[in-house]
Amino acid sequence: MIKVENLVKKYAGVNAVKGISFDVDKGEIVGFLGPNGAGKSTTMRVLSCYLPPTSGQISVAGFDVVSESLKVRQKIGYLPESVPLYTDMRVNEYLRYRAALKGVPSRKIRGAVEEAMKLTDISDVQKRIVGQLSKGFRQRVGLADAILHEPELLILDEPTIGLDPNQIRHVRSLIANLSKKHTILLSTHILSEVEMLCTRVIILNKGKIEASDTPANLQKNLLGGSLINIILKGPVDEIKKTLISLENVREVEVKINNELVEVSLWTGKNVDIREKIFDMVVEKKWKLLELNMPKRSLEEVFVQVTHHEE
Amino acid sequence: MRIFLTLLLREIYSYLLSPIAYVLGCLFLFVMGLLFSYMVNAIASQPQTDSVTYFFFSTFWIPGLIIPSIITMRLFSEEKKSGTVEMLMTAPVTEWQVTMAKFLGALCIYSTMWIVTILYVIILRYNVTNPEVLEVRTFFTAYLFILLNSALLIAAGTWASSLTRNQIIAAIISFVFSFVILLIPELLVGALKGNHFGEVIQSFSAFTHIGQFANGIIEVQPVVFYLTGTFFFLFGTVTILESRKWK
Repeated sequence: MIKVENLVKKYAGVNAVKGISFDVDKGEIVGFLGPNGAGKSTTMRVLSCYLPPTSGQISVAGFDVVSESLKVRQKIGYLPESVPLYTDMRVNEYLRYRAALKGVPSRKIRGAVEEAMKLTDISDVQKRIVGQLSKGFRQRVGLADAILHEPELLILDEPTIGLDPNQIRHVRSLIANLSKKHTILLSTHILSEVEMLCTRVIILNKGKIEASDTPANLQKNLLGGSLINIILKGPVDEIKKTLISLENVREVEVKINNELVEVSLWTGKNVDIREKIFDMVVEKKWKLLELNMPKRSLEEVFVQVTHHEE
Repeated sequence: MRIFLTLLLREIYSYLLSPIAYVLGCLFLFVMGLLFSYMVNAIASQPQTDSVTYFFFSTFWIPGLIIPSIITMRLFSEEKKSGTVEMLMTAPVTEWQVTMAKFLGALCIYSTMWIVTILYVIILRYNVTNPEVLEVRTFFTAYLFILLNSALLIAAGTWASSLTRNQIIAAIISFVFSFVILLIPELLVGALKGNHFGEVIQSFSAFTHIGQFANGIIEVQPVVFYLTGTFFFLFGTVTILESRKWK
Protein backbone atom coordinates (compact mmCIF):
# COMPACT_ATOMS: atom_id res chain seq x y z
CA MET A 1 0.00 0.00 0.00
CA ILE A 2 2.78 2.41 0.95
CA LYS A 3 6.33 2.11 -0.25
CA VAL A 4 8.84 4.62 1.03
CA GLU A 5 12.44 4.48 -0.07
CA ASN A 6 14.99 6.82 1.36
CA LEU A 7 12.63 9.72 2.04
CA VAL A 8 14.46 12.95 2.81
CA LYS A 9 12.62 16.17 3.61
CA LYS A 10 14.45 19.41 4.24
CA TYR A 11 12.76 22.64 5.20
CA ALA A 12 14.68 25.89 5.02
CA GLY A 13 17.78 24.83 6.87
CA VAL A 14 16.14 22.06 8.88
CA ASN A 15 16.53 18.42 8.03
CA ALA A 16 13.17 17.11 9.22
CA VAL A 17 13.34 13.60 7.78
CA LYS A 18 16.74 12.06 7.11
CA GLY A 19 16.33 9.23 4.66
CA ILE A 20 13.77 6.77 6.01
CA SER A 21 12.48 3.65 4.27
CA PHE A 22 9.49 1.52 5.17
CA ASP A 23 6.61 -0.41 3.66
CA VAL A 24 3.02 -0.71 4.76
CA ASP A 25 0.99 -3.64 3.46
CA LYS A 26 -2.71 -3.72 2.74
CA GLY A 27 -4.80 -4.23 5.88
CA GLU A 28 -2.11 -3.23 8.36
CA ILE A 29 -2.56 -0.66 11.11
CA VAL A 30 0.79 0.99 11.49
CA GLY A 31 1.55 3.42 14.28
CA PHE A 32 4.10 6.18 13.97
CA LEU A 33 5.59 6.80 17.36
CA GLY A 34 8.06 9.46 18.31
CA PRO A 35 8.71 12.56 20.39
CA ASN A 36 7.72 16.00 19.12
CA GLY A 37 9.73 17.03 16.08
CA ALA A 38 10.63 13.47 15.17
CA GLY A 39 9.29 13.91 11.63
CA LYS A 40 5.96 12.11 12.00
CA SER A 41 3.76 14.88 10.65
CA THR A 42 6.23 15.74 7.91
CA THR A 43 6.26 12.15 6.68
CA MET A 44 2.47 12.09 6.70
CA ARG A 45 2.28 15.33 4.78
CA VAL A 46 4.56 13.90 2.14
CA LEU A 47 2.44 10.75 1.92
CA SER A 48 -0.73 12.81 1.57
CA CYS A 49 0.86 14.83 -1.27
CA TYR A 50 0.72 18.13 0.60
CA LEU A 51 4.48 18.51 0.65
CA PRO A 52 6.88 17.04 -1.89
CA PRO A 53 9.86 14.99 -0.71
CA THR A 54 13.29 16.60 -1.10
CA SER A 55 14.45 13.23 -2.38
CA GLY A 56 13.40 9.62 -2.29
CA GLN A 57 10.88 7.34 -3.97
CA ILE A 58 7.45 7.31 -2.38
CA SER A 59 4.46 5.49 -3.79
CA VAL A 60 0.99 5.04 -2.34
CA ALA A 61 -1.34 2.37 -3.74
CA GLY A 62 1.09 1.97 -6.63
CA PHE A 63 1.14 5.66 -7.61
CA ASP A 64 4.02 8.07 -7.19
CA VAL A 65 3.21 10.92 -4.77
CA VAL A 66 4.90 13.53 -6.94
CA SER A 67 4.07 12.62 -10.54
CA GLU A 68 0.69 10.98 -9.92
CA SER A 69 -0.43 13.00 -6.94
CA LEU A 70 -4.08 13.36 -8.06
CA LYS A 71 -4.49 9.59 -8.20
CA VAL A 72 -2.84 9.18 -4.83
CA ARG A 73 -5.14 11.79 -3.33
CA GLN A 74 -8.18 9.90 -4.58
CA LYS A 75 -7.00 6.80 -2.71
CA ILE A 76 -6.30 8.34 0.67
CA GLY A 77 -8.25 9.92 3.49
CA TYR A 78 -6.10 12.33 5.44
CA LEU A 79 -6.77 13.88 8.83
CA PRO A 80 -4.25 16.61 9.63
CA GLU A 81 -3.18 17.17 13.20
CA SER A 82 -5.05 20.43 13.77
CA VAL A 83 -8.26 19.22 12.02
CA PRO A 84 -8.85 22.35 9.95
CA LEU A 85 -12.50 22.62 8.85
CA TYR A 86 -14.64 25.34 7.30
CA THR A 87 -16.16 26.76 10.43
CA ASP A 88 -18.96 28.62 8.66
CA MET A 89 -20.70 25.51 7.28
CA ARG A 90 -23.10 23.05 8.85
CA VAL A 91 -21.75 19.56 9.47
CA ASN A 92 -23.83 17.83 6.79
CA GLU A 93 -23.22 20.64 4.29
CA TYR A 94 -19.51 20.40 4.89
CA LEU A 95 -19.45 16.64 4.42
CA ARG A 96 -21.55 16.85 1.25
CA TYR A 97 -19.15 19.45 -0.11
CA ARG A 98 -16.14 17.30 0.72
CA ALA A 99 -17.73 14.21 -0.81
CA ALA A 100 -18.36 16.06 -4.08
CA LEU A 101 -14.80 17.39 -3.98
CA LYS A 102 -13.43 13.90 -3.59
CA GLY A 103 -15.38 12.72 -6.62
CA VAL A 104 -18.10 10.67 -4.93
CA PRO A 105 -20.84 10.32 -7.62
CA SER A 106 -23.76 12.73 -7.03
CA ARG A 107 -26.37 10.08 -6.37
CA LYS A 108 -24.12 8.37 -3.80
CA ILE A 109 -23.22 11.50 -1.85
CA ARG A 110 -26.23 11.40 0.44
CA GLY A 111 -25.63 7.77 1.37
CA ALA A 112 -21.89 8.25 1.82
CA VAL A 113 -22.39 11.24 4.11
CA GLU A 114 -24.97 9.45 6.21
CA GLU A 115 -22.83 6.36 6.49
CA ALA A 116 -19.79 8.39 7.57
CA MET A 117 -21.85 10.33 10.13
CA LYS A 118 -23.26 7.11 11.51
CA LEU A 119 -19.83 5.52 11.84
CA THR A 120 -18.40 8.54 13.63
CA ASP A 121 -21.55 9.06 15.69
CA ILE A 122 -22.17 12.67 14.64
CA SER A 123 -25.64 12.28 13.12
CA ASP A 124 -27.09 14.18 16.09
CA VAL A 125 -25.03 17.29 15.36
CA GLN A 126 -25.36 17.24 11.57
CA LYS A 127 -27.41 20.46 11.50
CA ARG A 128 -25.00 22.38 13.70
CA ILE A 129 -22.39 24.82 12.49
CA VAL A 130 -18.89 23.34 12.52
CA GLY A 131 -17.41 26.41 14.26
CA GLN A 132 -19.67 25.90 17.27
CA LEU A 133 -18.76 22.26 17.86
CA SER A 134 -16.49 21.06 20.64
CA LYS A 135 -13.03 19.74 19.86
CA GLY A 136 -14.17 16.13 20.15
CA PHE A 137 -16.96 16.57 17.65
CA ARG A 138 -14.71 18.43 15.24
CA GLN A 139 -12.23 15.60 15.44
CA ARG A 140 -15.00 13.21 14.50
CA VAL A 141 -16.18 15.44 11.66
CA GLY A 142 -12.59 15.35 10.41
CA LEU A 143 -12.60 11.58 10.64
CA ALA A 144 -15.95 11.38 8.85
CA ASP A 145 -14.46 13.57 6.13
CA ALA A 146 -11.45 11.25 5.83
CA ILE A 147 -13.57 8.12 5.31
CA LEU A 148 -16.25 9.68 3.04
CA HIS A 149 -14.94 8.33 -0.24
CA GLU A 150 -14.02 4.94 1.25
CA PRO A 151 -10.30 5.42 0.69
CA GLU A 152 -7.97 2.45 0.63
CA LEU A 153 -5.60 4.18 3.01
CA LEU A 154 -6.31 6.38 6.01
CA ILE A 155 -3.58 8.70 7.23
CA LEU A 156 -4.46 10.02 10.67
CA ASP A 157 -2.14 12.52 12.31
CA GLU A 158 -2.65 12.32 16.09
CA PRO A 159 -6.34 11.39 15.88
CA THR A 160 -6.90 11.44 19.65
CA ILE A 161 -4.99 14.57 20.63
CA GLY A 162 -6.93 17.04 22.75
CA LEU A 163 -9.86 14.74 23.47
CA ASP A 164 -11.26 13.78 26.86
CA PRO A 165 -10.85 10.15 28.00
CA ASN A 166 -14.34 9.12 26.87
CA GLN A 167 -13.86 10.62 23.46
CA ILE A 168 -10.44 8.99 23.18
CA ARG A 169 -12.00 5.61 23.83
CA HIS A 170 -14.68 6.32 21.29
CA VAL A 171 -12.24 7.38 18.59
CA ARG A 172 -10.04 4.37 19.32
CA SER A 173 -12.88 1.91 18.93
CA LEU A 174 -13.85 3.76 15.77
CA ILE A 175 -10.34 3.33 14.38
CA ALA A 176 -10.35 -0.33 15.36
CA ASN A 177 -13.63 -0.66 13.44
CA LEU A 178 -12.30 1.15 10.41
CA SER A 179 -9.31 -1.14 10.28
CA LYS A 180 -11.53 -3.91 8.98
CA LYS A 181 -11.97 -2.08 5.71
CA HIS A 182 -9.02 0.28 5.44
CA THR A 183 -5.28 0.26 5.77
CA ILE A 184 -4.39 2.77 8.47
CA LEU A 185 -1.30 4.79 9.22
CA LEU A 186 -1.63 6.82 12.40
CA SER A 187 0.74 8.86 14.47
CA THR A 188 0.60 9.42 18.17
CA HIS A 189 2.72 9.88 21.22
CA ILE A 190 0.31 8.02 23.44
CA LEU A 191 1.92 4.63 23.82
CA SER A 192 -0.98 2.65 25.13
CA GLU A 193 -2.86 3.66 22.01
CA VAL A 194 -0.28 2.02 19.81
CA GLU A 195 -0.29 -1.10 21.97
CA MET A 196 -4.06 -1.33 21.67
CA LEU A 197 -4.53 -0.51 18.02
CA CYS A 198 -1.53 -1.20 15.90
CA THR A 199 -0.29 -4.32 14.25
CA ARG A 200 3.07 -2.67 13.76
CA VAL A 201 4.96 0.24 15.26
CA ILE A 202 7.51 2.47 13.61
CA ILE A 203 9.47 4.50 16.13
CA LEU A 204 10.83 7.71 14.68
CA ASN A 205 13.38 9.91 16.36
CA LYS A 206 15.12 12.97 14.95
CA GLY A 207 14.06 12.12 11.41
CA LYS A 208 15.23 8.52 11.51
CA ILE A 209 13.56 5.17 12.05
CA GLU A 210 14.82 3.74 15.32
CA ALA A 211 12.76 0.60 15.33
CA SER A 212 9.98 -1.07 13.38
CA ASP A 213 8.22 -4.19 14.62
CA THR A 214 5.08 -5.47 16.31
CA PRO A 215 4.48 -3.94 19.75
CA ALA A 216 5.10 -7.33 21.42
CA ASN A 217 8.39 -7.94 19.63
CA LEU A 218 9.59 -4.46 20.39
CA GLN A 219 9.06 -5.07 24.07
CA LYS A 220 10.86 -8.39 23.90
CA ASN A 221 13.81 -7.47 21.78
CA LEU A 222 14.64 -3.89 22.43
CA LEU A 223 14.78 -3.97 26.18
CA GLY A 224 17.50 -6.59 26.14
CA GLY A 225 16.12 -8.94 28.75
CA SER A 226 13.67 -8.84 31.60
CA LEU A 227 13.65 -7.57 35.13
CA ILE A 228 12.75 -9.71 38.15
CA ASN A 229 11.96 -8.23 41.54
CA ILE A 230 12.56 -10.39 44.59
CA ILE A 231 11.98 -9.66 48.28
CA LEU A 232 13.34 -12.21 50.77
CA LYS A 233 14.89 -12.71 54.19
CA GLY A 234 18.42 -14.09 54.54
CA PRO A 235 22.15 -13.17 54.58
CA VAL A 236 22.70 -10.31 52.15
CA ASP A 237 26.17 -11.15 50.88
CA GLU A 238 25.38 -14.77 50.26
CA ILE A 239 22.16 -13.90 48.45
CA LYS A 240 23.99 -11.57 46.13
CA LYS A 241 26.75 -14.06 45.44
CA THR A 242 24.44 -16.97 44.70
CA LEU A 243 22.07 -15.01 42.53
CA ILE A 244 24.78 -13.58 40.33
CA SER A 245 26.18 -17.07 39.79
CA LEU A 246 22.92 -18.24 38.27
CA GLU A 247 22.81 -18.84 34.54
CA ASN A 248 21.57 -15.96 32.33
CA VAL A 249 21.75 -13.38 35.10
CA ARG A 250 23.37 -10.18 33.95
CA GLU A 251 23.09 -7.81 36.85
CA VAL A 252 21.96 -7.91 40.47
CA GLU A 253 21.13 -4.93 42.65
CA VAL A 254 20.52 -5.41 46.37
CA LYS A 255 18.89 -3.02 48.83
CA ILE A 256 18.31 -3.65 52.51
CA ASN A 257 15.05 -2.48 54.02
CA ASN A 258 14.86 -3.38 57.76
CA GLU A 259 15.31 -7.18 57.75
CA LEU A 260 14.14 -7.54 54.19
CA VAL A 261 16.46 -7.87 51.23
CA GLU A 262 15.09 -6.30 48.07
CA VAL A 263 16.71 -7.59 44.90
CA SER A 264 16.40 -6.30 41.36
CA LEU A 265 17.74 -8.81 38.90
CA TRP A 266 18.22 -8.45 35.15
CA THR A 267 18.34 -11.50 32.91
CA GLY A 268 19.24 -12.06 29.28
CA LYS A 269 16.73 -11.99 26.45
CA ASN A 270 13.78 -14.37 26.31
CA VAL A 271 14.50 -16.35 29.46
CA ASP A 272 12.46 -16.83 32.58
CA ILE A 273 14.48 -17.99 35.60
CA ARG A 274 11.82 -17.48 38.25
CA GLU A 275 11.54 -21.23 38.94
CA LYS A 276 15.26 -21.57 39.41
CA ILE A 277 15.27 -18.68 41.87
CA PHE A 278 12.44 -20.27 43.82
CA ASP A 279 14.23 -23.65 43.97
CA MET A 280 17.40 -22.00 45.12
CA VAL A 281 15.68 -20.05 47.86
CA VAL A 282 14.08 -23.26 49.13
CA GLU A 283 17.38 -25.09 48.99
CA LYS A 284 19.16 -22.36 50.98
CA LYS A 285 16.25 -22.14 53.45
CA TRP A 286 15.81 -18.39 53.00
CA LYS A 287 12.31 -16.94 53.28
CA LEU A 288 10.75 -15.76 50.04
CA LEU A 289 8.19 -12.94 50.37
CA GLU A 290 7.83 -11.73 46.82
CA LEU A 291 8.91 -12.80 43.34
CA ASN A 292 7.63 -11.06 40.27
CA MET A 293 8.51 -10.19 36.70
CA PRO A 294 6.75 -6.90 35.81
CA LYS A 295 5.48 -6.63 32.24
CA ARG A 296 7.43 -3.78 30.76
CA SER A 297 5.44 -1.34 28.74
CA LEU A 298 6.06 0.09 25.35
CA GLU A 299 6.72 3.29 27.22
CA GLU A 300 10.03 1.93 28.42
CA VAL A 301 10.87 0.81 24.92
CA PHE A 302 10.06 4.29 23.71
CA VAL A 303 12.17 6.00 26.32
CA GLN A 304 15.05 3.61 25.79
CA VAL A 305 14.97 3.89 22.01
CA THR A 306 14.55 7.64 21.78
CA HIS A 307 16.91 8.67 24.53
CA HIS A 308 19.88 6.37 24.14
CA GLU A 309 22.03 9.14 22.69
CA GLU A 310 21.71 11.54 25.57
CA MET B 1 -15.60 20.15 -14.23
CA ARG B 2 -17.85 18.85 -11.46
CA ILE B 3 -15.10 19.39 -8.94
CA PHE B 4 -14.60 22.92 -10.24
CA LEU B 5 -18.32 23.66 -9.87
CA THR B 6 -18.26 22.26 -6.33
CA LEU B 7 -15.40 24.59 -5.47
CA LEU B 8 -17.09 27.56 -7.16
CA LEU B 9 -20.38 26.98 -5.33
CA ARG B 10 -18.54 26.71 -2.03
CA GLU B 11 -16.86 30.10 -2.72
CA ILE B 12 -20.13 31.84 -3.56
CA TYR B 13 -21.84 30.16 -0.63
CA SER B 14 -19.16 31.36 1.78
CA TYR B 15 -19.69 34.95 0.57
CA LEU B 16 -23.39 34.61 1.19
CA LEU B 17 -22.71 33.35 4.72
CA SER B 18 -20.42 36.20 5.71
CA PRO B 19 -21.66 39.73 6.32
CA ILE B 20 -18.88 41.26 4.21
CA ALA B 21 -20.66 40.82 0.89
CA TYR B 22 -23.87 42.40 2.20
CA VAL B 23 -22.11 45.32 3.84
CA LEU B 24 -20.05 45.97 0.70
CA GLY B 25 -23.12 45.59 -1.49
CA CYS B 26 -24.98 48.21 0.52
CA LEU B 27 -22.02 50.55 0.52
CA PHE B 28 -21.58 50.08 -3.21
CA LEU B 29 -25.22 50.78 -3.99
CA PHE B 30 -25.30 53.77 -1.66
CA VAL B 31 -22.24 55.34 -3.31
CA MET B 32 -23.43 54.52 -6.82
CA GLY B 33 -26.88 55.90 -5.99
CA LEU B 34 -25.34 59.18 -4.83
CA LEU B 35 -23.23 59.42 -7.97
CA PHE B 36 -26.27 58.60 -10.09
CA SER B 37 -28.42 61.34 -8.56
CA TYR B 38 -25.53 63.79 -8.91
CA MET B 39 -25.24 62.79 -12.56
CA VAL B 40 -28.96 63.18 -13.22
CA ASN B 41 -28.89 66.65 -11.68
CA ALA B 42 -25.87 67.63 -13.74
CA ILE B 43 -27.39 66.42 -17.00
CA ALA B 44 -30.70 68.05 -16.26
CA SER B 45 -29.25 71.42 -15.36
CA GLN B 46 -26.91 72.07 -18.29
CA PRO B 47 -25.91 70.59 -21.66
CA GLN B 48 -23.04 68.05 -21.55
CA THR B 49 -20.35 67.32 -24.12
CA ASP B 50 -19.88 63.68 -23.10
CA SER B 51 -22.42 60.97 -23.82
CA VAL B 52 -24.78 59.93 -21.05
CA THR B 53 -23.19 56.46 -20.98
CA TYR B 54 -19.72 57.89 -20.44
CA PHE B 55 -21.06 60.15 -17.76
CA PHE B 56 -22.80 57.21 -16.13
CA PHE B 57 -19.68 55.02 -16.03
CA SER B 58 -16.97 57.66 -15.50
CA THR B 59 -17.00 57.03 -11.75
CA PHE B 60 -16.32 53.29 -12.13
CA TRP B 61 -12.92 53.67 -10.47
CA ILE B 62 -14.38 54.71 -7.10
CA PRO B 63 -15.81 51.29 -6.18
CA GLY B 64 -13.07 49.61 -8.28
CA LEU B 65 -10.41 51.01 -5.98
CA ILE B 66 -11.86 49.60 -2.77
CA ILE B 67 -14.34 46.79 -3.23
CA PRO B 68 -12.34 44.16 -5.21
CA SER B 69 -9.54 44.40 -2.61
CA ILE B 70 -11.95 43.69 0.24
CA ILE B 71 -13.80 40.95 -1.61
CA THR B 72 -10.61 39.08 -2.49
CA MET B 73 -8.53 39.59 0.65
CA ARG B 74 -9.82 36.47 2.38
CA LEU B 75 -9.66 34.07 -0.58
CA PHE B 76 -6.41 32.31 0.24
CA SER B 77 -5.27 34.19 3.36
CA GLU B 78 -8.11 32.80 5.43
CA GLU B 79 -7.48 29.23 4.27
CA LYS B 80 -3.79 29.59 5.02
CA LYS B 81 -4.40 31.02 8.46
CA SER B 82 -6.96 28.42 9.53
CA GLY B 83 -5.01 25.58 7.91
CA THR B 84 -7.92 24.50 5.72
CA VAL B 85 -5.64 24.92 2.72
CA GLU B 86 -4.09 21.61 3.80
CA MET B 87 -7.49 19.90 3.63
CA LEU B 88 -8.21 21.58 0.32
CA MET B 89 -4.95 20.69 -1.39
CA THR B 90 -4.87 17.09 -0.15
CA ALA B 91 -8.24 16.52 -1.84
CA PRO B 92 -7.96 15.44 -5.47
CA VAL B 93 -8.09 18.98 -6.89
CA THR B 94 -5.60 20.89 -9.02
CA GLU B 95 -4.15 24.33 -8.28
CA TRP B 96 -5.86 25.73 -11.39
CA GLN B 97 -9.26 24.45 -10.30
CA VAL B 98 -8.90 26.07 -6.89
CA THR B 99 -7.58 29.36 -8.27
CA MET B 100 -10.23 29.65 -10.99
CA ALA B 101 -13.03 28.79 -8.54
CA LYS B 102 -11.92 31.46 -6.10
CA PHE B 103 -11.38 34.03 -8.85
CA LEU B 104 -14.73 33.41 -10.54
CA GLY B 105 -16.56 33.28 -7.20
CA ALA B 106 -15.24 36.73 -6.27
CA LEU B 107 -15.92 38.04 -9.78
CA CYS B 108 -19.51 36.77 -9.58
CA ILE B 109 -20.09 38.63 -6.31
CA TYR B 110 -18.61 41.88 -7.62
CA SER B 111 -20.47 41.56 -10.94
CA THR B 112 -23.74 41.01 -9.08
CA MET B 113 -23.30 44.41 -7.43
CA TRP B 114 -22.82 46.01 -10.83
CA ILE B 115 -25.80 44.16 -12.29
CA VAL B 116 -28.05 45.93 -9.79
CA THR B 117 -27.00 49.26 -11.33
CA ILE B 118 -28.89 48.23 -14.48
CA LEU B 119 -31.88 49.48 -12.49
CA TYR B 120 -30.50 53.01 -12.82
CA VAL B 121 -30.34 52.60 -16.59
CA ILE B 122 -33.96 51.42 -16.61
CA ILE B 123 -35.04 54.35 -14.41
CA LEU B 124 -33.24 56.70 -16.79
CA ARG B 125 -34.71 55.06 -19.85
CA TYR B 126 -38.31 55.51 -18.70
CA ASN B 127 -37.89 59.03 -17.42
CA VAL B 128 -36.09 60.84 -20.22
CA THR B 129 -38.33 62.84 -22.49
CA ASN B 130 -36.16 62.12 -25.54
CA PRO B 131 -35.18 58.40 -25.62
CA GLU B 132 -32.61 59.03 -28.34
CA VAL B 133 -30.33 60.60 -25.76
CA LEU B 134 -29.75 57.09 -24.39
CA GLU B 135 -27.93 54.69 -26.65
CA VAL B 136 -28.70 51.30 -25.13
CA ARG B 137 -25.99 49.60 -27.18
CA THR B 138 -23.28 51.67 -25.54
CA PHE B 139 -24.45 50.57 -22.13
CA PHE B 140 -23.74 46.97 -23.13
CA THR B 141 -20.22 47.77 -24.27
CA ALA B 142 -19.63 49.84 -21.14
CA TYR B 143 -20.74 46.95 -18.93
CA LEU B 144 -18.37 44.73 -20.91
CA PHE B 145 -15.58 47.13 -19.97
CA ILE B 146 -16.60 46.94 -16.32
CA LEU B 147 -16.43 43.14 -16.52
CA LEU B 148 -12.97 43.14 -18.13
CA ASN B 149 -11.64 45.73 -15.73
CA SER B 150 -13.11 43.98 -12.69
CA ALA B 151 -11.62 40.66 -13.82
CA LEU B 152 -8.17 42.23 -13.75
CA LEU B 153 -8.75 43.83 -10.34
CA ILE B 154 -10.13 40.61 -8.86
CA ALA B 155 -7.29 38.55 -10.34
CA ALA B 156 -4.77 40.93 -8.78
CA GLY B 157 -6.57 40.59 -5.44
CA THR B 158 -6.62 36.79 -5.72
CA TRP B 159 -2.90 36.82 -6.30
CA ALA B 160 -2.29 39.20 -3.39
CA SER B 161 -4.30 36.94 -1.12
CA SER B 162 -2.20 33.91 -2.06
CA LEU B 163 0.95 35.72 -0.90
CA THR B 164 0.15 36.03 2.78
CA ARG B 165 -1.86 34.56 5.62
CA ASN B 166 -2.73 38.05 6.82
CA GLN B 167 -5.92 39.40 5.25
CA ILE B 168 -5.06 43.04 5.97
CA ILE B 169 -1.72 42.76 4.17
CA ALA B 170 -3.47 41.04 1.26
CA ALA B 171 -6.00 43.89 1.08
CA ILE B 172 -3.25 46.52 1.13
CA ILE B 173 -1.23 44.82 -1.63
CA SER B 174 -4.39 44.44 -3.65
CA PHE B 175 -5.34 48.08 -3.09
CA VAL B 176 -1.93 49.22 -4.33
CA PHE B 177 -2.35 47.15 -7.50
CA SER B 178 -5.89 48.50 -8.00
CA PHE B 179 -4.51 52.02 -7.66
CA VAL B 180 -1.80 51.28 -10.24
CA ILE B 181 -4.27 49.70 -12.66
CA LEU B 182 -6.98 52.35 -12.34
CA LEU B 183 -5.31 55.69 -11.67
CA ILE B 184 -1.53 55.73 -12.18
CA PRO B 185 -1.60 55.74 -16.02
CA GLU B 186 -4.04 58.67 -16.05
CA LEU B 187 -1.93 60.58 -13.52
CA LEU B 188 1.22 59.95 -15.58
CA VAL B 189 -0.55 61.09 -18.73
CA GLY B 190 -1.31 64.38 -17.02
CA ALA B 191 2.34 64.78 -16.04
CA LEU B 192 3.77 63.80 -19.44
CA LYS B 193 1.46 65.79 -21.66
CA GLY B 194 2.55 65.95 -25.30
CA ASN B 195 5.36 63.46 -24.73
CA HIS B 196 5.52 60.25 -26.91
CA PHE B 197 5.90 58.22 -23.77
CA GLY B 198 2.73 59.84 -22.45
CA GLU B 199 0.84 58.64 -25.52
CA VAL B 200 1.93 55.06 -24.94
CA ILE B 201 0.82 55.24 -21.34
CA GLN B 202 -2.45 56.81 -22.35
CA SER B 203 -3.33 53.63 -24.27
CA PHE B 204 -3.11 51.75 -20.96
CA SER B 205 -5.26 54.19 -19.03
CA ALA B 206 -8.58 52.82 -17.83
CA PHE B 207 -10.10 56.25 -18.57
CA THR B 208 -9.09 55.98 -22.21
CA HIS B 209 -10.65 52.54 -22.33
CA ILE B 210 -13.96 53.59 -20.75
CA GLY B 211 -14.05 56.49 -23.20
CA GLN B 212 -13.92 54.00 -26.08
CA PHE B 213 -16.27 51.39 -24.64
CA ALA B 214 -18.84 53.96 -23.48
CA ASN B 215 -19.06 55.19 -27.05
CA GLY B 216 -19.72 51.69 -28.33
CA ILE B 217 -16.20 51.12 -29.62
CA ILE B 218 -14.58 47.80 -28.74
CA GLU B 219 -10.85 48.07 -29.46
CA VAL B 220 -8.70 44.96 -29.55
CA GLN B 221 -5.85 46.50 -27.55
CA PRO B 222 -7.71 47.05 -24.24
CA VAL B 223 -9.48 43.67 -24.48
CA VAL B 224 -6.14 41.92 -24.94
CA PHE B 225 -4.61 44.07 -22.19
CA TYR B 226 -7.24 43.11 -19.60
CA LEU B 227 -7.39 39.44 -20.55
CA THR B 228 -3.61 38.95 -20.50
CA GLY B 229 -3.35 40.92 -17.27
CA THR B 230 -5.99 38.70 -15.68
CA PHE B 231 -4.27 35.56 -16.92
CA PHE B 232 -0.92 36.85 -15.69
CA PHE B 233 -2.20 37.30 -12.13
CA LEU B 234 -4.04 33.95 -12.13
CA PHE B 235 -0.92 32.23 -13.40
CA GLY B 236 1.00 33.99 -10.63
CA THR B 237 -1.49 32.66 -8.07
CA VAL B 238 -1.14 29.09 -9.32
CA THR B 239 2.65 29.47 -9.20
CA ILE B 240 2.46 30.66 -5.58
CA LEU B 241 0.25 27.69 -4.68
CA GLU B 242 2.64 25.30 -6.39
CA SER B 243 5.66 26.89 -4.75
CA ARG B 244 5.17 24.74 -1.64
CA LYS B 245 6.12 21.85 -3.91
CA TRP B 246 9.45 23.35 -4.94
CA LYS B 247 12.84 22.05 -3.82
